Amino acid sequence: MTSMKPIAAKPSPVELIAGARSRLALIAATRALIYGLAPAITAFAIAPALAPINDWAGSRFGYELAQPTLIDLRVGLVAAGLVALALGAASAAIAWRRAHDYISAAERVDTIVNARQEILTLATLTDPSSSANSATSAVPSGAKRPALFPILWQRACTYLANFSPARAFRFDLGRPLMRGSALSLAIVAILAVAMMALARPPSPEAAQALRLREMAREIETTSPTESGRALAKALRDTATVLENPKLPPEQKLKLLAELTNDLQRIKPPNSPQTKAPHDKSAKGSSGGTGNSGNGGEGAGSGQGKGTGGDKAEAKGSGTGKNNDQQMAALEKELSQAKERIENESAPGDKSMPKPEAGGSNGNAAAPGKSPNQPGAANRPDDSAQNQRPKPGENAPPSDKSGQGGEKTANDDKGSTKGDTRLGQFPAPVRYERFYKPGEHGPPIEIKDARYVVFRLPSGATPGAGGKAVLDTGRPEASTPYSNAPLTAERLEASPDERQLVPPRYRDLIQ
Amino acid sequence: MGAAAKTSPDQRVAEFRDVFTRAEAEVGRVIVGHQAAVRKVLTALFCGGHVLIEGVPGLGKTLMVKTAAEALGLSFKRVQFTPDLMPSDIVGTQILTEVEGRREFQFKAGPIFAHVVLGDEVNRATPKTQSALLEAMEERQVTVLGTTYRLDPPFFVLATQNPIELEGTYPLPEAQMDRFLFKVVIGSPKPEELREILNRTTGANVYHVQAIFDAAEAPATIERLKDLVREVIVAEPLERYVIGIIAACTPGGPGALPEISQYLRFGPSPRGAQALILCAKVSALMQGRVSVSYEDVDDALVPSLRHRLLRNFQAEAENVTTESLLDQVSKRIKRPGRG
Repeated sequence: MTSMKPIAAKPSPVELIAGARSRLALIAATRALIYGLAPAITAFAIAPALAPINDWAGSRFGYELAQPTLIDLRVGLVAAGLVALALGAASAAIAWRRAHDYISAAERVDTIVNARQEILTLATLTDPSSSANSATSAVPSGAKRPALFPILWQRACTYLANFSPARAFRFDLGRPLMRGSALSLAIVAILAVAMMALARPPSPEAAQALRLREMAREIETTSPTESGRALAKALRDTATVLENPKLPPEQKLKLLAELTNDLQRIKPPNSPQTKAPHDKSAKGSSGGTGNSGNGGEGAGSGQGKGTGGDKAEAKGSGTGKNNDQQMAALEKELSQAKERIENESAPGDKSMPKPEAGGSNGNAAAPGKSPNQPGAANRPDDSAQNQRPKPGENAPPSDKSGQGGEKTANDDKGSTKGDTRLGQFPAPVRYERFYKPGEHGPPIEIKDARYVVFRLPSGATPGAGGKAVLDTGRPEASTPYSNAPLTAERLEASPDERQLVPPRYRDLIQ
Repeated sequence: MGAAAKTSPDQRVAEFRDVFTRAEAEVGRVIVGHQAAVRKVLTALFCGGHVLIEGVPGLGKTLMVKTAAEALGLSFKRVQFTPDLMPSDIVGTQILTEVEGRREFQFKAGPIFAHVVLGDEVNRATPKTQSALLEAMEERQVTVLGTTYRLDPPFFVLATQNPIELEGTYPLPEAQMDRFLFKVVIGSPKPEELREILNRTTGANVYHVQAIFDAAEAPATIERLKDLVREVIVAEPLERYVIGIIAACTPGGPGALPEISQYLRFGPSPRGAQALILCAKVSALMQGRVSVSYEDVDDALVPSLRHRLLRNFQAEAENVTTESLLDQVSKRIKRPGRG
């Protein structure tokens, strides 16, 4: 008994062309959507990651975006993503509408099956959108068709016997993806440029915090002990506190003091001494002299002994050369942070350098005194003098680098250190150090002065006297001259008729 | 139409291809080479148009036309155009004859009363005589002394002209040239073709053309096939393509190519577009198709339009031919599916 299998009806050319039309429209819409989708996805993916990126950039390079700018950028990214999505959807809709054309699809099919416009001709006669053709009937009625239409239909069926729209028109999304990726890259590039353009340089507090964090990282790397980790954590906390603008300066100072105490506690007693290099001899010495700049002198020497036979052992001691430098730098940073907070918390003009802030801030001498007389900063500080290392002795504990004893005291606290980039040009004070007219004294030594401020007189001093003097010794012109215009008669005079004959005419005239 | 109604479209298309192929083969037995020219002549015949053949003497123009007429079983007349040829020598005249003792005028038909008329060296006759022929070509009727006489279909005129002897000639006006469907240029035969010509014409065996169907039914058959040509389908994009070609060839027009505007005085008339479509239809039928393709139009471009483009002085001075301009048009005109 044989089973009767139903013969699958072959789709008619009209159905195949319509299928091709739908397929082409779908492909066109998908491609157009991808153009907008890829940048939208990129924007949406980057927007939430913007804050971590900003934090990372701030902690790594110190440059970061302000919070409002960051929010604006994030909103802009989301908006750009939405716009890209909307544009992609709109272009997809337009592409769908354009590609959803019966005649165009027939033309594509015609080209693929090499039917020499027979499919195209058939499509023009069977276009469902045309009012002349019946949209419901797949097999066209012969009433309105040309007499030769059946032949055209048969030939089209032959051409389309093995045609499949899905096989003929594939979703080749490589190029749209490439173009969409290019658009995504453009968004990323624009964002990077915008971030670089809008990033602000770190504030002094932020820079300080950044340095503290770097030190914390170094400490963690070089001394992975419990105390090192604790110190690193404390440094990070301090950095966070320093960056917090809402905290009062007193609290910051308190925290800094605690950290300094912790540091002193952690610091081993032999830390001022420079450890020996990590060579196998494990012996070494270090010495140095310090110059405080204005009168302050210091000298120090140190010797250290190490037992590290190799680098690992030296690290294991926890008091290597790097650690000493780190501690010194750390103390310096902490003191700078402390000074900054004190300056900010002090009432009055904060831009004015405080002569009392440090022992040697480089300011000029007090008014009324001899310019060469050492000022408050230049006066030898007894305490500093006492701390100054003497030759042949170990450096005092405060001088961990073995440099001059007044190095710490002569750090130009509160001054700009000659750097005018911060815009803190010193105010024109203490101009009295120069001699007034008629005043005499030893020659003014301004060799080491960082700034020399002049005050120009605003006008003639009333009652200063003096008389007008005719300067007869100035050079004069030897020939009389005048810059007055010529007289009118001279201007109206007839031109000189004696003119030079051009060379080419001279022989002719002669 | 009666025969057309009885036979199926498939049979009609097959009949056309058969007739055309047999006629082409029969002419090819006499004429060596010039296959393209022979095809164009037959194409014009089935389109219902006329052909202007240009070529130097001795290339077989007259023989080609005569052979085609004999092969199709059509009547053939030849008129040698000379400067003293009068219109009445072509269309005929009234002559005084004596019938049953009475003298009366009777119309003596001229050579134009034939299915295939060859006007040899048409540019040697005066414009007045040329006009008589060309009017008959267009109207397919002649009027002699107030009496109109219709010309039996199919009426097919082939005019030849010699391009080298211009002394004492009257070149056809542009308006007259437009009435020819095609202008076929016959070139010199190749050496192999010349050898074959010598063998066929100087030997003892002379081939006699065999008509492919009876002389009695030939006109009706040809008219039926001409009707079939008109039924070939032209899609709307193809029509736009032809219109684009005509626009591109019209100097100063919106779609004119720069070269066209530079070298032409006038472009083709709507007759040019008609010629393109008709020729493309015959070409499609010849290949068994019932719809026109872009290639069919391209094939018809040069013979249909070359004599409808009027060059300006610059083009003549620079020896820019209409064929080269049409070649530019066919390359640069946009069409779907190209590139």
